[in-house]
Amino acid sequence: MNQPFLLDYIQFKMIYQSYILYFFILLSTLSFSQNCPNKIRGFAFDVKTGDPIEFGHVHVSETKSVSVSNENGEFILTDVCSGKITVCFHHINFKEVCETFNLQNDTTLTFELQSVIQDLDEVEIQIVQHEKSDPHLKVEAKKMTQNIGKPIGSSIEQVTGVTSLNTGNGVSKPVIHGMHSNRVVIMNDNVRLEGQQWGGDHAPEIDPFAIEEIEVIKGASSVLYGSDAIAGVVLLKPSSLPDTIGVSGKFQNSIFSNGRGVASSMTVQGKMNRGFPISYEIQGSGQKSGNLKTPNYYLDNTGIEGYNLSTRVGSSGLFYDVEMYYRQYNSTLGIFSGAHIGNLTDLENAIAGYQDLSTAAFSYNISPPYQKIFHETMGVKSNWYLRKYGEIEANLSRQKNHRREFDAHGSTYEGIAELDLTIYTDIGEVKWKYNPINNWSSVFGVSGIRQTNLYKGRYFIPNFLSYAGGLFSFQRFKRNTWSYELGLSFDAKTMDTYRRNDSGEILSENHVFSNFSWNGLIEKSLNENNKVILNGGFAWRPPSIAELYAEGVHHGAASYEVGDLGLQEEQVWNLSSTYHYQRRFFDLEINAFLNYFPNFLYLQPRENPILTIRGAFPAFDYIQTEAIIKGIDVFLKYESDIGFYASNKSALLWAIDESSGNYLVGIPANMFTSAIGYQIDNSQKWYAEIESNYVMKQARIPLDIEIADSPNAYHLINLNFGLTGNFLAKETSITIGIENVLNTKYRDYLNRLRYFSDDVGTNIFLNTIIKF
Amino acid sequence: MKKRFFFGIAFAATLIACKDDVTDPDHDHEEEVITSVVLTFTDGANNTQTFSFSDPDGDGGTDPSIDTISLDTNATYTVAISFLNESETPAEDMTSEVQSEANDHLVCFTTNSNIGVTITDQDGNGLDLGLTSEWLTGNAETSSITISLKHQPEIKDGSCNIGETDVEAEFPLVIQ
Repeated sequence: MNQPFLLDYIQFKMIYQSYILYFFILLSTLSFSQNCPNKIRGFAFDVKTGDPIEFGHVHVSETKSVSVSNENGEFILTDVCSGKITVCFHHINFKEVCETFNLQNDTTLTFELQSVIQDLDEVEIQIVQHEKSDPHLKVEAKKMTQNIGKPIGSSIEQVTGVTSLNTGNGVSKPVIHGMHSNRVVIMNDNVRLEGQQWGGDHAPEIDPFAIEEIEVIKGASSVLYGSDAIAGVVLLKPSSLPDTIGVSGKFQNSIFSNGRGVASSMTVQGKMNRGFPISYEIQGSGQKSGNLKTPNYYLDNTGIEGYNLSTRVGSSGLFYDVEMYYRQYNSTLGIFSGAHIGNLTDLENAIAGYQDLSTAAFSYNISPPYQKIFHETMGVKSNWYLRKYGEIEANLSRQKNHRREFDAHGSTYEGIAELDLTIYTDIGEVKWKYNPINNWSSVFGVSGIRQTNLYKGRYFIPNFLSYAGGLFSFQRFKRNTWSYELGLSFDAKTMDTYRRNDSGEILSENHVFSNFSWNGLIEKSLNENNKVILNGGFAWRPPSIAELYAEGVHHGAASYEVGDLGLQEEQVWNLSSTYHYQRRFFDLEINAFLNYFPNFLYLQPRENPILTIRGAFPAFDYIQTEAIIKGIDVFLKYESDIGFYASNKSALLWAIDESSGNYLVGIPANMFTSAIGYQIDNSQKWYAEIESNYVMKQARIPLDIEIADSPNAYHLINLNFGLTGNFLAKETSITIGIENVLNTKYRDYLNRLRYFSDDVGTNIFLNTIIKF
Repeated sequence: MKKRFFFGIAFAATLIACKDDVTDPDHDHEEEVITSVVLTFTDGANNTQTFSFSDPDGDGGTDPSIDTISLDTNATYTVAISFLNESETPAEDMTSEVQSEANDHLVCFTTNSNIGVTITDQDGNGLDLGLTSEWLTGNAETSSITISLKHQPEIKDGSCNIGETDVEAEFPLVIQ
């Protein structure tokens, strides 16, 4: 270790001394707490007469939640914990009925009861849980708390089969089965996140502190989120607004060594009764970090600065839920200055390691090149419960995204961005969720989106005004050990673009795209341990604005990119099968999938660079080709009842351009993540684990057209420790972790900066969550 | 109830987008764009020749047009370099910009030929600039020479392998 590192360590230790004291106090008082956000609404009636049952008692066996039904037979249970529960309805005149099921989110129950005087054979209970989730596709709470100080991409990639496309450490986009950007739909609290997501270096504009739960959706129910969820949907959910009168809140904080950064968030939520009940939440967060460090040198200009705000107000009753919200995201992201390459000569020099990066020092300063992003979302969401006729969901939202990219190259016009794009997106949708008969749940919906895109300064993509609409339906039917799902949608989009040519004349084009998409799923439970799922479908997406219109040098990427106005919509046929085996202590899921694209859109490298006044640049054209992407995801976990656990996640991927026979560029290498740990999860709550990430060398690349070979395989070891307890009567969680413990020098194929520098070295973090 | 009504109206009002802006795209703001490099050679007898590397329509589109530098054997030339923006009419001379930011720029000459290039002007810190230079040719040969304009704010130290490349023009070179 050189001298500067030793000084960092001393400063670091001083800051953390107070935390160490705090930590030991915490150890002495540990207690248990849980996340119970679910509501159960219900309706009970006499099976013979159809009359509602008043004054019946409903309770959840595992907890103390109790409710009484009103004169309409209606009841509501709040703050019910997720997991296996038993709900019983009891009334002196009727035979008690109980139902045991796995509660995952808000649910509606309908009880039909027999009078004690009668003696009918059948008593029916209808359970309506419209969204069913695969627990393996949710990010574990443990992983959420480990990643609170990081961009949202770090949390999302904890799901098997998901990785990240990074531009340095500040910019991270989710990649599902090798696909990203316009093939992945991100939903933030039920609103489609819309910005300039066509850019590989444009990260999702999400405050990670505001997200309570992350789930990845594939298969039939993805049609509910748009036809273009070709790779899948990432659902980001905030916490539910509180149901109990009072005020509570949460303070979250992360301090980390690599980048010497701090990220903090404060949330206050509460409920009051002013004639009608109002629940609210206000949350704000901020973060600041400086230059990152690889094992051997600092990465100049990789600081991050950001601040965010979220406000929500809602009201919830037996028949309705309404919520209004306003969210704002602001961030300034420094782009590694050593990556800001002029042309092919410079690029080749950088690849050859000719750049001397050792002169960089630590600094919080952010200079050009950097990105500055503003994102604002506001809207209303509502749910209306119509007893026997199901539920109506209506959402309306507006987003504004303003992205500016400042390159180092704009010396005479300081403060004017090279890229200045503003996009407004208005979305409205209505869904009707209904159970026509037992074991059959159904959703019908309609949605509309209007977008306005405006550019300022140098042209890269045009202005456009687009209108898109969709009609969709989702059906699920269960019978004995079989379950069937079918999703169907029709989407159409019309777009008018506007730009100026060299003479200043306005050029305008109109584009129209439309198609059906569908997805079917069949699930069979072979016995109580084994389950098999078969899933297939067709999806499509219109070409993105960049794929059609991009023209010019992409400064941050040292590449010259050309779009094509003639590109057609991209279509994909998908087939996947999943095998699930579960018994006491043991959980296994294997998912194999195949995606066939008759006209896959991608940026193909040209054989010869393009010659400009600034020298030669690697050139890329957006083309369409026949492609196949296939792979296998495996999730395996062993969890004993004495605290010990072990898990493994593997993701293997193959991708071929069928027309040329070449491998596709930019496909993640095979990777294997394993963890071994010990946890105590009862009246005391803590865990310790060691995690290993092994990423293979991506040998499946078209070597003759790639600029450089892919990086070598690498292996990272992480240590994590978490503790939850009560400190001064507040529930506190502390997570301490060391990432890349061995300070391994490595580069990742999906990091766009891999040509220029190594990836980051060791990072020690301390995350604190205090609930009050 | 009134509160909800008010919020509804306020919200609806924000949904009215400014449609006019979309159909009126922004004009391109001209920045420091160099489209051409012009080399003016003066020989011992005060005869001048010019050779240029020019790409007036910018990146992509038509390929740049490149003159072949044709010089006599065993001669000395004084060379002046100008940088122009020929996408504008009249063409904008960017050389004075480079001159005024001399401390941040360096003209570099790279060649495998036998000619010798000596830079004859300096910036405010005494480091080479390269807008004027002296070329010494040797025997007859056919080769090439690359002229680069490097932008090196705060890092200029005389070396050519640092900084941004504003111009990199490779000229075929014939000495006869």
